[in-house]
Amino acid sequence: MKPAASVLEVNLERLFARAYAPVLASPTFRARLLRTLELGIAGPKPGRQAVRWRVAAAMVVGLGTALLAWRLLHGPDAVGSVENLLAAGRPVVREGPAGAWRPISDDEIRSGIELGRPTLELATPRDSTAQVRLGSAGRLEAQAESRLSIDSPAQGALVVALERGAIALERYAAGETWRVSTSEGSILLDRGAIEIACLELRGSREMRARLRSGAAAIDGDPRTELVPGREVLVQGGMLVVDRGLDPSVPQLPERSSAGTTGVSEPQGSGTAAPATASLRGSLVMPAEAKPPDLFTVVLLRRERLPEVSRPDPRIFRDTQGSFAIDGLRPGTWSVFVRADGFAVWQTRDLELRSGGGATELRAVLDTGLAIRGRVIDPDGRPVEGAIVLSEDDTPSQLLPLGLDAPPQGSAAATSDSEGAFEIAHLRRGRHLLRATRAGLGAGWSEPIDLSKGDPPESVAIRLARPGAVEGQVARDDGAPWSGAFVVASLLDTTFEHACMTYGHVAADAEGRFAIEDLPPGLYVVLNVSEGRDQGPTASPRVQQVHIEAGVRTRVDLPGGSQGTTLEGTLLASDARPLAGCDVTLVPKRRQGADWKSTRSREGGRFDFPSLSPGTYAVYVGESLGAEFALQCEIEVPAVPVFRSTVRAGLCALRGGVLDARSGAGLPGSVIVLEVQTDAGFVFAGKSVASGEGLYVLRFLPAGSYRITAYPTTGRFGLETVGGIEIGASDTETVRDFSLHPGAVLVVRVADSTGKPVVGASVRFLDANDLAVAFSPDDVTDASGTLRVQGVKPGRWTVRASRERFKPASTTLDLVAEEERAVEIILPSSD
Amino acid sequence: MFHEGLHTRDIVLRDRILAGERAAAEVLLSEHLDPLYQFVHWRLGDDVHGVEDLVQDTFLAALQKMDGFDGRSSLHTWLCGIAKNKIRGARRIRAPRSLQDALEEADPEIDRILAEVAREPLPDHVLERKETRELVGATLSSLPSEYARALVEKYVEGLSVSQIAKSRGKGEKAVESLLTRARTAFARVFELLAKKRGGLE
Repeated sequence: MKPAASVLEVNLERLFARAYAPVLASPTFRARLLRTLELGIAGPKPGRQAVRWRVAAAMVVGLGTALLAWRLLHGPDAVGSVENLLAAGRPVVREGPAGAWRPISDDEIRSGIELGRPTLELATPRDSTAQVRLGSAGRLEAQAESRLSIDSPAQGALVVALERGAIALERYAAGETWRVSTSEGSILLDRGAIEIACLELRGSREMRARLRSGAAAIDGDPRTELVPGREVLVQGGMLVVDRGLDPSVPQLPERSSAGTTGVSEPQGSGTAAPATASLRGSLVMPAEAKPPDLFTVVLLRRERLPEVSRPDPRIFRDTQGSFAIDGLRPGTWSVFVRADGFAVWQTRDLELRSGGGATELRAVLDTGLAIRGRVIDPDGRPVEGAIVLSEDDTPSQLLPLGLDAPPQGSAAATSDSEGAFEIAHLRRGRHLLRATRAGLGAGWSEPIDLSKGDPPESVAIRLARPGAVEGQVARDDGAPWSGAFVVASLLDTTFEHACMTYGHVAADAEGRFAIEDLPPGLYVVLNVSEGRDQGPTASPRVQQVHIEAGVRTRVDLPGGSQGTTLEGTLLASDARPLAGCDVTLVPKRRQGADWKSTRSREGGRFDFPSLSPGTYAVYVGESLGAEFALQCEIEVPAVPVFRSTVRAGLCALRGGVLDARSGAGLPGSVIVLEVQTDAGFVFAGKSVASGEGLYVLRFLPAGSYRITAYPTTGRFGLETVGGIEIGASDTETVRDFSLHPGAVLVVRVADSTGKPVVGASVRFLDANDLAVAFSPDDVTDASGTLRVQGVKPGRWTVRASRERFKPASTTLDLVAEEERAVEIILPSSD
Repeated sequence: MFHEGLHTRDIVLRDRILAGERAAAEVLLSEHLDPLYQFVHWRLGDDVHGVEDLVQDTFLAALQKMDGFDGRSSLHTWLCGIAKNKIRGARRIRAPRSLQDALEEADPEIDRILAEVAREPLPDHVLERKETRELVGATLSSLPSEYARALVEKYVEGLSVSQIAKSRGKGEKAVESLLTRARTAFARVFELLAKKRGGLE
């Protein structure tokens, strides 16, 4: 029967008006897919090798970087060098988390420290106080073993994070509310004077506050106004006690502490003194030059996660140019010497041993070489006011993006109105220059080799269109985490950067945060305040995110309120609970993207809130991201709470990554583990070789494995060892790598007129036509060049492509240790 | 064949992709992401990440096989064919809540009413049902994209026949004819799905 058109039309009108709900892809997904497809269209599809490397690189660098950031910025060890300085009895201060701690000067003792930078951190010893002048707005006095940071992100909106100790804060005039955050709650000061102490008494933490005058309140729902002269006691954000002045309540604690993990307890008289090493040095000057009046020696010890390197600056005034440093921990150290008018002198692999006398060092100072260049924006216009520095001459593992002045002791310059810069004294060696400026994403130069005394005529650094990450930080009960310190750390999958670049910000009263001016790339985002109070085995949850140029990406920490909460238990193979292990979830089918990580607690418990239903691969490790192995897959259903038990594997796979010629270990090499499945070998974990080139992969379940070593130092080619069979009862197996030197390949892509093609995709196909990626993108830079190292000797096909051009390729045979330059000309597609 | 022009455009897009033209990705997504996303959504369920994964896999598989697209069907139909295979695979691994499940739970009387969409006026209470919304979405995602687009323009965006004709550079008669075919196709698929309760494959 023919349908009645009129009834159908009426029904359609009503159906579309009342029962039509379009379903559209999210803009974030669209942007990510677009990028994926662009890469897929522009070159050959990545083979398993490429995927494997990308997964490994992202996870290797990601988790390690995140936890490195956490340890450096707020981890328990962050207190260590401060304690040494405080032992001299004088308050210490630093400008921002990446700055170097220094004792305050006599002037600052007398008249106070001026808050001249957006962020100031301060620590005071037991019997000394420090004053901070807050411009014309007020002042702050830190007392009683206090530890705090002061953030002044906008005029008038002051945020003080008080970790321990006590402060007196005075505000001369009303304005935007000031906030003092502690682990137990926050105080909002509208005007007047207030005393706040953060205590730990008999194992219980509390915040005490007494308003002397003016108006202030405990931040909460409801907001509790304080009464002048009355003391309040706050725990867990709640008002516990409100009483009048009670002389029985100590005004300051005998030992104040909140988050004291990592603070060294005084050692008993019976404790043996630790073995230490000594360093003696002398400056060797160029002919006819006199030693400088003042010079700085910065020490950086090589550590393996979970330990981290922390710069330890010492200032010397010795007309003979000699210095002596005692009390150093034995190990491998980097030493930087900086003096005005000279390039930074450095040595990176100095072994300091205890006993047997001090290690002698001769720091040969040299005026170095001047290097000139230009900083431009994404559209090619000159950028004024950009800070340009050599990452290799900066004695730090961490470099924040939001610099408003070059870090202390670095070789740096600021660009002028034409975008031009000149670094006058640059060490003769390899350099990677970084440029930053507010409002733009950071940019880097190509590696520059000054070892032959031949600086390039000009270095171009193109800043990126900035992206941003924004979201909300919440505690596990869903309450906003005001004052949480959020870090977005750029992942270096090239292993070429000497420093880690990151952006950071403190969350506002509603827990909102936004980190601006991020260059595009892979990042890990974490709340470094998380886990700080839970002891040395705690760690924050970490999320990986891809930042696009010009795009604001939403990331909530620990996640949105939607989804499933996974409450898990991690057990050893003998059913023992495993505490202090890193548990990482990777959504299946996403090739290593969007993973989350946390650390198991007592009883092996761990949890992941806000998971999307689906299948997740579960990885377990215990070296803060330096090492982890695939355990199983979990199917997370669409329910509010899902419980699961993970049994970790029993076997440990160990070995060394060695230089085949010398037998020396290759530190920092990345070991990628793959397990055989019905679909072939799939990524199953990774490890990083120690300073001696030794690696270990723990918790391996039974299976057939193969491992690949990716050297990150020198020019060694990668190597794969297969046929590793692990049984259910095996506890240990050993495999070593002997790596042979690889080649360096410099690919220059140009158009038919010889002009460099920027942003061309370059693909490398080995002799078996397997695509190998050397970085997540493998695209040419502003000079149309891509430089890769560690290319295995043999036949390679290099293919370049870019829109508006026809793809082109070249084939070449590489031999060990050579550095080969190839040029690929792309004909126009018009 | 009314598809003729569309297929020619699809073949041009195929060639741009095969030539390695990066900008072709933008065109591919602007024309095919939303229809494919809806197609997968109504078959796989509410798991956003699962849908995104499958849509991404479909596009990546399409890139790999693009030289096999010969233009005899539309690119949309071809993409949906790839997606169907992947959906079957996903269903074997997990069982998300899908239209199939929703329809299993549907009231038989509702289904009977819905199956008469071309002949009987739909009661108000039926329009408020979740399964009705799901059926509308699933039906639209099953139609040729040209039909779905025409119906949305007419009944959601409220465009007149002349406006649709103008925006497409076609005559009004051609658009009326297109709408007639689209309405008939909608009714037939809608009825089929309502009767079959999860006959989507």
